[in-house]
Amino acid sequence: MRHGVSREMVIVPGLDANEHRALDLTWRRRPGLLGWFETTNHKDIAIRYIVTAFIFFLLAGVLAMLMRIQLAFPENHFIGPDLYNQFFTVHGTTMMFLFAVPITEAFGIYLVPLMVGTRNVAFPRLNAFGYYVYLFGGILLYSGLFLNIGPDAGWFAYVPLAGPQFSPGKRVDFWAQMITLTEIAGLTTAVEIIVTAFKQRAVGMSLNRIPLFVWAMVVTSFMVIFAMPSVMLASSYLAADRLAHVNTHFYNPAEGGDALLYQHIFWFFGHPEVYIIFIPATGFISTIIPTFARRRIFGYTALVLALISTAFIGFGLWVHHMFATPVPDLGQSFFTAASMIIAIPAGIQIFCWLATLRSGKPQLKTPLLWVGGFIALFVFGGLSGIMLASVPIDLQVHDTYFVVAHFHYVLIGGAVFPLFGAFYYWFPKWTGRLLNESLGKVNFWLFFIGFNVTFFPMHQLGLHGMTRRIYTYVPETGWGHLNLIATGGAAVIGLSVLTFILNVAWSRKRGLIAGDNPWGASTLEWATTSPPPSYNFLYLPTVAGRDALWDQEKISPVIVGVRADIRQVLNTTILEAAPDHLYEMAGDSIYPLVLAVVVGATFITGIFFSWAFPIGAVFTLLAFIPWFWSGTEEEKQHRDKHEKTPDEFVQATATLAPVEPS
Amino acid sequence: MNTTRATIDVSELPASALDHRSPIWLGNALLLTIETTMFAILVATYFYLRANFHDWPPPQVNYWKPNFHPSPDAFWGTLNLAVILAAASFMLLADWAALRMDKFKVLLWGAFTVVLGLIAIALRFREFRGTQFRWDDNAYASVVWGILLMHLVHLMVGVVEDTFMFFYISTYGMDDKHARDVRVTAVYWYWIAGIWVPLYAIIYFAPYLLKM
Repeated sequence: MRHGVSREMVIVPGLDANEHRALDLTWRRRPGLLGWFETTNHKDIAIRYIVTAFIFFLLAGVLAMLMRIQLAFPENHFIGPDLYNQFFTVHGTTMMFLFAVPITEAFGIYLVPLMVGTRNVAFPRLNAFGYYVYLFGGILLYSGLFLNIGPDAGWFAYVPLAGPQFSPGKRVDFWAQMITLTEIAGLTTAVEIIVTAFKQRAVGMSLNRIPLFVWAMVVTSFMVIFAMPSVMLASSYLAADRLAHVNTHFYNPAEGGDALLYQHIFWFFGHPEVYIIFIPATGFISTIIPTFARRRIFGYTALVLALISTAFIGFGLWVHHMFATPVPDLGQSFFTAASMIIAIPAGIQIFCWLATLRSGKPQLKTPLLWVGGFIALFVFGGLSGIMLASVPIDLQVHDTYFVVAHFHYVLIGGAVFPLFGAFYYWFPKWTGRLLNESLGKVNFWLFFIGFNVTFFPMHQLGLHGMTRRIYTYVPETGWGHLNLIATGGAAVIGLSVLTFILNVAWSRKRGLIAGDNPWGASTLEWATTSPPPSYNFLYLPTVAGRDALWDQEKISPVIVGVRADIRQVLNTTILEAAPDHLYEMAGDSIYPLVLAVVVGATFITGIFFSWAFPIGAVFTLLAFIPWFWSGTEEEKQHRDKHEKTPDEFVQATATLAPVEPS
Repeated sequence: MNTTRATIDVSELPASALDHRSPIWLGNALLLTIETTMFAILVATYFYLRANFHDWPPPQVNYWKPNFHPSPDAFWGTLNLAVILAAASFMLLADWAALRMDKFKVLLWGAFTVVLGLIAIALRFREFRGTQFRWDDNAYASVVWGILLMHLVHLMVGVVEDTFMFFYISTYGMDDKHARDVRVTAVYWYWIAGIWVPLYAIIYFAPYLLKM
């Protein structure tokens, strides 16, 4: 450590207040509407992300309810086949692309900078840009649906059904360009999270002391980097095949293209996607369990290695989605084996969590309740997953409700339950108030019971031969009773979500005051106020152990000497997190939004005109210029030196001078 | 009521780093990882589609006389490879000059990179013609045009970024931040050139190696 000499600072009354005032002036956003659009604060952006993703969750939930009503009785005529196709496509697409991935990334954007003890994400403007692009992607998808021209070829839009021949019109194009926009957002977020976690950690937070949630987000981000380009290409090929005057032949068998190529590159993304959703959830769990078990996590190293091996193996499974296509036998065996191997790191994690709980003194608060629900449901879904990994069973139940039941158990059980736990756990940090415990328990039990009533019968329906994506069935099939039960369960889930919304609305105003660290947790986000100030920490913290706050010495040193008059942060080394150099971040700016509008407009008009792309590229470059020009304060000062007389320069920089301690 | 607090003073640390320790360097490297993945999948597409053809490239029968071996024109491709490698080499010189904060040399070598980059962009359009197909002729043409086009987009971004950056430096002079930007952009250029070597080899020579 080059500058690791601890020394003592005499605290005089007023010093902290001065520092606070200087930091607040530098980091807070401009008041007013423009300031709202300009902000690049990771907490502002993350909360918008979370609220937006939750609204999409509600919309997709409403679609699911409507589908369940349609299926409640045989030969029901509540909604017709065309609308039904749009509903299940938009439901699946929303849940995967607009809810599950964005909302966990949003938690990462909020929590990673706080957990590693820094002031903002590494590239704040890119972060804001990512959010707006994602928002436009979501709006695009739903404008299609509300105009009754929503995509209708399934959330994975298989060709040839989704190709120009069998899906004329623009429906599938809405889907394809929504993918491009949301994946741009996913990729930008991934890059920021990795750089923030690698370069901006608190002094002393070496690689083997990173909180498990941050590890989970880093591993997820690496998966995003290798998986999402694949789906962007899959959907771009599709859009290019479909677009008039472009008419490529990637998937057109008549000209040497290949429909199975689509399935390969889609699932090369699609299977890792499952882990991109699941791994952050393991991060929630590894954070919540030690807090409520009142002990350190059991098997930290094993848990980290399990995450990394899951990420690696996760890229070698994609063909198990394609067992019903002509894949060579050897290939099938390979992918079956890989699909079973991935149960090993999942098992290691489950046992580590159980060991932590068993050897601790668990307090059954609401967040831990959701984790308990997760363990039960995820193990159950994992078991049906092992069944599906075997080719003969897979062929038998392929495209039936058995598969629907399986992936709802792993996705809702594996990701949505931990997510609700995370809501209850971190809500006090965001708002300063705790969510109501009693309502939380009602919320949990309604969801747990409703979920099982909805999805357990689907295993049976699948084994009885009910196929996916059918809008109705005849009474003679005998599927009516189980479907009616499932619909009843869905209504209970709906009630549970309403309870949650009620709880949030009530607790925001009247919940118990949380204080800095209501749960007595160990990670750094609890070392600052709830909600945290714009600059997160008055003095950047240092870390002396794996559980930052539990390992804190009586007088832990803090970092001083980071400038408060500009948006400066401390960069540390990747391995040891020793102080390395200082780094000034770009300030707030309207141009991320401007660029997002340009990019959004390009891809949306690109649905109709092929010339939109070259024209949009020019505008994109034009929007980049002011983005970079309005960079950091240091840059501005540097420019001013060139442009202004010395007197003007002194005047211009006077407002930037550090506030002297009084 | 004065108290004391243990502190670590970092005010003496440098206010920027010119190498891989800088966040922007790491961010750029991750961006290039994304782009490399994208090209890897384009290459996978190329070889996957090859299995659907008897001849690769397929015969060009849109014209009289038909061309049964319409291999892409390696002359223009090779020439452009040389231009792209040269552009990256000048960027290497600019990179070294940036380490010494030598504004004149950065701008001089940078200007070479920009000019060569523009030549490479122009030659790329000649390469499109050299494929002897339009993108919508068949799946082979689609994927070859796809690879050429995606690389062209990166070339254009590199040239525009350079132009803008060098214009800034020539107006306001070198500072630490822009020395770092030059170095990061240089990495981008090494990548543009480096990734093109295997892609060039595949487009122009894989047809000979993949004869059935």
